[in-house]
Amino acid sequence: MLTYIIKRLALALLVLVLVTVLLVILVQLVPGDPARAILGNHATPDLIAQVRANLGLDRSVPHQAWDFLSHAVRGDLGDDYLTGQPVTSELGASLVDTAVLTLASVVLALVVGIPAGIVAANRPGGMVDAVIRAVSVVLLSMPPYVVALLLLLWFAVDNHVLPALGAGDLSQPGDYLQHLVLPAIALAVFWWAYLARLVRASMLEVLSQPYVRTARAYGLPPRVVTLRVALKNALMPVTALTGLLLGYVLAGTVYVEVIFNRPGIGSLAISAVATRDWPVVRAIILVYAAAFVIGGLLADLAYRVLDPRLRLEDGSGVFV
Amino acid sequence: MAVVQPSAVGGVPAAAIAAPERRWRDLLRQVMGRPSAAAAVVVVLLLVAAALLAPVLTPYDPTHIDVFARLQGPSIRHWLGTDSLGRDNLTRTLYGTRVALVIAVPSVVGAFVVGGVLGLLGGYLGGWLDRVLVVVFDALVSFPSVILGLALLTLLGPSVASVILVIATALVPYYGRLVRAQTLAEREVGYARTERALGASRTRVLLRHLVPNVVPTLLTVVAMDVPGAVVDAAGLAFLGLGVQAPTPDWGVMLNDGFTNIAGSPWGVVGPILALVVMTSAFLVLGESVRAVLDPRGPAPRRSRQWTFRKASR
Repeated sequence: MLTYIIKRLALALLVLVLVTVLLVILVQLVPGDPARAILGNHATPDLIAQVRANLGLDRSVPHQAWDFLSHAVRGDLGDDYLTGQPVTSELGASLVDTAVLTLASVVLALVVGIPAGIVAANRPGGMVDAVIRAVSVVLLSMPPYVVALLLLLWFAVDNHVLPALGAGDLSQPGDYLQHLVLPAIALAVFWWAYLARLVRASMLEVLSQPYVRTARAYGLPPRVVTLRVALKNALMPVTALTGLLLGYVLAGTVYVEVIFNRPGIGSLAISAVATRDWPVVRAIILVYAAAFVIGGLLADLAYRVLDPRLRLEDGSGVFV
Repeated sequence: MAVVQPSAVGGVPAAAIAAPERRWRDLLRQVMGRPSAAAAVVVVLLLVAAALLAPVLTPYDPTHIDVFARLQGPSIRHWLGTDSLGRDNLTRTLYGTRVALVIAVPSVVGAFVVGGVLGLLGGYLGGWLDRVLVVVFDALVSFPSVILGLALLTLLGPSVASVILVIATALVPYYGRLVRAQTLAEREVGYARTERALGASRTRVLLRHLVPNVVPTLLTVVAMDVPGAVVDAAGLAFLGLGVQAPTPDWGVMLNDGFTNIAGSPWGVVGPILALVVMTSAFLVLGESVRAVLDPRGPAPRRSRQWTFRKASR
């Protein structure tokens, strides 16, 4: 297990270093230029050279990569080119809002999706199963921005049961939570359908195992058989998907923050792209990458802890 | 030419490597035998028809501005109302199918070609190339195209070409992994080993045997990714990072509808319906294709479950 953790940590670090280096190389590879992007098409060569110098783009690629990397490690992600503020200070508050939204969406997805799958597996081919199946096709076809727009239409335009705009104030928890409901639903809906199908399939698989039959033969009530005997094993595929779930939700925060006018790193990124503020965009991408990597790491470790069979194969197959 | 026909050797049933056309026809017949899949095929064909026939189907120009008729609700003249500049929403939705396909198909195909070549090489040759590819693919595989798009589109500026590049780049590691896994599996199958034992070069085994066996199966998987690419492209356009107004794109329409949502909710209806209908059609179709291709055959799920429930009583 320890070897695995060390190897996995090394991979996570490697990925982060790769992303950092890629962000530096990307500027060289892509025909655009941050300085020109900031200044527009009519800038004089002198001015462009000056901005390039300010951004550190005139130095060699390894030098730039090292600079960015060593500063990032110390928590310095560069300065916002337009305001001159350190990017980290701008990120700070937004990061909390986005993290809370991400967490809320993941929890909401699991809390609704898994029970739906269990209920559907309870009577395969029954009424409830058929309804969940039909609804899930529609839900699976809706990208987060479509769900968010529909919720916005319903709650902001038609009725005002829940606040649909802004993030509320963290010092008033009730208000903050209310503001969280719609954005979190928008990101969770897809996973309700996805998890319901996944859990249903794996539940049916597990329920046909001999050990479950044994439990039934002992006379355990169906509820106990489903929830205590079968559920743990039926949830294994869900653990394997946690990384994917996190990726979907993090990417979705960009849309949802824009649509519900929430502060967060997603909406910050969009405004930074609009003003072509490369240092801010670069920093935000690094933050997203870090979130992915940490999420993937935790998911993999959790998978190992939950499934003892994987621990036996230590040392092999880490990268496969 | 080898003395022994490689396709007749080894544990592979001849049918599995029969002429590709036969396989395609069989697949099509089996898929169309399922009512839900047949309906999905009809929907997909209708969408393609809408893309091709848009100018015939509607009397309006998708970019014709009529400010006196802005933000109208549905009427006989404008079935889905008009947008903030008085353009007909239904017309723009129909033309949007074109833009959607023009972006999605090249990105998916391009990504499959690049990812496929990398995956074949990595899977067949192995060695350091394979190891590097696996680490890079693993690192990038869940990286969503929106985030990637933020970086590339800041530097490149938004355009159709940049959007195709972004979506294709996000798909490459996914296809690379898929093709690599398939190649690894096929590499050790009897016919490939026989051909190598007969002295065929690596290139010959790769091109004559592995490619024809790996690619067709995966093409069906890849085709199902078209709606995903459309959704991503529309999302980027919605954020203002992709296709730009006044192009009649679903994402551009969503953006216009979103900005004016308080004035008229009808701006977002067309593109939302189009996106949901297209995605669900592909979803249903993909499920049927997978069920038909599943080597375990159609699972007798219901009857098995039923006997177990009976046994538990």
